[in-house]
Amino acid sequence: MAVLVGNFGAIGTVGLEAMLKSQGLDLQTSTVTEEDALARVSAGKAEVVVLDSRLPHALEKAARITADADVRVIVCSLDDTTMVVFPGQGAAPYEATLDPTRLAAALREGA
Amino acid sequence: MTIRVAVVDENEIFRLGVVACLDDKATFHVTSASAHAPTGPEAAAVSQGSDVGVVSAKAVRESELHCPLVVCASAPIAVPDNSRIFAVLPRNGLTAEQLGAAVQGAAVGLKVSLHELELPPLDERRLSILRLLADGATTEEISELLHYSQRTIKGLVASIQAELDARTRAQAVATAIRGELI
Repeated sequence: MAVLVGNFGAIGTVGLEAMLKSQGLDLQTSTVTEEDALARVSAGKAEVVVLDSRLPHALEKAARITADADVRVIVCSLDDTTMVVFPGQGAAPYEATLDPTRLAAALREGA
Repeated sequence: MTIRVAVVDENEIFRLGVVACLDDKATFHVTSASAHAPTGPEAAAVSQGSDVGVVSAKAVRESELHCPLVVCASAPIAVPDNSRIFAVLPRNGLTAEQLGAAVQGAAVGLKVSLHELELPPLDERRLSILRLLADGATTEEISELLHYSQRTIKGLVASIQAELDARTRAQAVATAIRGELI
């Protein structure tokens, strides 16, 4: 199960849903705040957080979520062709092309 | 009547979203979906097989498609009177209904009144780069300060220029200052 933080809009949400579904992950369609995401992760209701890179201080927020909940966080937007992946489990974040193959690799890490 | 649609958008999420939204309705048939703008014979073939193209701002600059185009852009783009662009829609916040209406309009030759787009706030990463450019920082210096590769910084600067319709870094900084982005 993945959870969104930020506003990807209707088209973006449908696109993310398709991308995640191709990797066997369902998407919680309602977007949530950073705090809600942490609560859902802590309750075992989310394995991955997808965070909108247009949010202020997006990378800092992603780092905080990863540190607090030890969960994978993918930072991306509808404008970029790259994503920043925070793999969790103490691993350093990295940047990758936003495509299904790289996304699959990012989702497999730490699984 | 089924409207055949070609989708060209470099952003995987947005492209998949457009395809899924259009394929969900019997009115539309997505004939091709690509990250790269077709040129030459490929553009001719795609144009021949499509009634409408749904494309990104980058793709509309690079492609040689000659079918009616619906552009999904993050920022306003200039549309000449004789352009093949029939609608400009905002990427962020766009609904499936708005997209469908614009594609249907373009298919029958109607120029949908163009969205008045407000310049969207750039993400924090781009704003940081713009601020550093305004301070006179080089690509190498920005790369070291923000912990991204120089290649990434160059790509982000190019995307900032595209979003602000600026030919140079200096013009992008000037536009950002005038628009109170930084």
